[in-house]
Amino acid sequence: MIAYILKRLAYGAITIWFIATATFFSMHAVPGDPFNEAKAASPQLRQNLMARYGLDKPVTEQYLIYLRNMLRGDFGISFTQENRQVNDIIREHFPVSAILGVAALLIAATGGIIGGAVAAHWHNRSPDRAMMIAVVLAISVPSFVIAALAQMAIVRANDWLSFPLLPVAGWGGISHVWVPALVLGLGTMAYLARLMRSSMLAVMQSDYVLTARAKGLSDWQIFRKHQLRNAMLPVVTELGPTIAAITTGGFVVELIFAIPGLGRYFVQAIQQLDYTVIMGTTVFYGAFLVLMVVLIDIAYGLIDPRIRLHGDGR
Amino acid sequence: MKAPESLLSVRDLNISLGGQHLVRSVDLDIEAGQCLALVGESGSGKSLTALSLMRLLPRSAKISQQYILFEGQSLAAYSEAQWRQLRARRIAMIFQNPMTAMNPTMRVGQQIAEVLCLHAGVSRREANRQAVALLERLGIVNAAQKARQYPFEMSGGMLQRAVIAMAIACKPALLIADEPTTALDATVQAEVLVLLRELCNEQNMGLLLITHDLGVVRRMAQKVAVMYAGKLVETGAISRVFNTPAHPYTQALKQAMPSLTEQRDSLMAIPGTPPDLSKPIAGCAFAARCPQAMNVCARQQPADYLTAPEQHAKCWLWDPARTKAS
Repeated sequence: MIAYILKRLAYGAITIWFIATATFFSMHAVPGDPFNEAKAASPQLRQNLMARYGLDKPVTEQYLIYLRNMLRGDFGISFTQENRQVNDIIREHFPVSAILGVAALLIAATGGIIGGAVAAHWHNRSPDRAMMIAVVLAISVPSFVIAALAQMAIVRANDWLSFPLLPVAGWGGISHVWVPALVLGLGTMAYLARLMRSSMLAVMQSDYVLTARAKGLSDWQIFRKHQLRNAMLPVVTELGPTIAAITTGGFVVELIFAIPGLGRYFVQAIQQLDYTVIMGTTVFYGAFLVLMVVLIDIAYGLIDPRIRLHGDGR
Repeated sequence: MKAPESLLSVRDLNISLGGQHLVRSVDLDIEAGQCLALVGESGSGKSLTALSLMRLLPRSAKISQQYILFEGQSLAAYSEAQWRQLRARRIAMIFQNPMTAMNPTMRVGQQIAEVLCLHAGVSRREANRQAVALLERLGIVNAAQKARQYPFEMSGGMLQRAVIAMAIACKPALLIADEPTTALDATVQAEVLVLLRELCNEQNMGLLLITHDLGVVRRMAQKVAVMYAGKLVETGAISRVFNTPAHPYTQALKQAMPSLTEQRDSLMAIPGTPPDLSKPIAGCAFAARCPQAMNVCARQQPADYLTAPEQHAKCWLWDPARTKAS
């Protein structure tokens, strides 16, 4: 198990290096530079700034400097915001994004697993059909539409109750988390529900479920002890890539619900070609994703003994 | 002489699934301590018959019988809860492929202990202890360690022993074994068969052995029932059916068996295919493939004729009226 985790982490480190390199060079391939729009910057001032940030050096040298700083955990200073370290931006705003993302993931995973199991249990009957229609809707309607609809629904509900049940937007308490997290996780939930449904149907047909019935176990006992864990395996594998979907989806949802997450800075930085912020947030998100995938792989190993005991992924 | 009391008796068992009448008017009698072999080709309805004896058929299956008696009790009106009490405790089942019959994410010992916890009402610790003892009894060395393993860590033969351990954990009166050795290689096959026979003798357990391997039948069973297209075409004592098969289908099966003493260039096959069971069959289901078919065979179903002591066949050839006429 330890060897398995170490191997995963090593792969992760390589992935992060790759992300950093790819972002660095693609960013430098984009025309323009961060000081293009600087107000009335004299050529002298521009020169000084370029020298200050090492932008007058050859790209390969900048790259090496960048890698060295990154290894020390220093992402540099923002080019466009005064006196702000990239590290500070991440430290301030990432926790907000993380809370939203983790809540969305938990909602998606729980809802998807329960929904899929329910649909499979009533296969080809009305609960299954209703569930599958909901799944198609949730997958195909974009999250900004769902976000707007959700806000409208909150406003109506608050009006009707004549006291604010839930806040429409903003950030602060737990009440601010539910609706954005649900909106953010909905597509993923639908996707996982479909996955769970088909894997549950396969498990229900399996020989070991017949064995379990022949043991005299009740349907509920069979579900709990023999079906759930086995049917969950493909769902858990999919959680890794799903985190990427939720993270990127988070940028939009944060904007609509006026949540001060990292996403806004990320988008802003790209528009302004703020090299250090783009690099810092990209590499940070990359590292975060890789870490989550490793965690999911570990969780997978805990659920499936075939992975845990052989130490190699499928 | 008193006839032995049957452990299980079923009369006129019919099963339909998806509009097909797959098991047609089957009668079975199994005695304690004896082995009845149910033979027939794939799709002849053997497995459905077996599953119906534990009410493990798919929900969409329609089942009817004149009566089903087990240990003197009628099971016809049993509720699902009553069936659950019976399963594994009084009637247990072994399935064909041990590699897939066990939950891949649960330790083997735990899967055996689960049955004991459920039916014997023992504590988890005691159930685990008994599970190890069972594995030991079935000839697994280092049983305590094996009990902690997962199915994928074991060989097929060892797993089938574990599956058998699971089935006999509560000392059932009847064991149904659906092709228990088909997925195993020949040497392991022999060991498993010996084990099953010992268990029958020791615990006076009835065994319904489902197979298409006539060699296995000869080694294991006292009685045999030959199934074709959902019907029992011939039943009887093993020596009778093997030495003097009465039904043309059984005769053809016997000829199709390769023998060690005879030199043959190719294996014998019965020409034709089994009939379509989605339509009603007017006469004998085998008529179209039967070398001795007569006009009546395709028109009317034959009755069950006693062809010799302890041997019955459903075939017009044995109709007394015809015998007299010829």
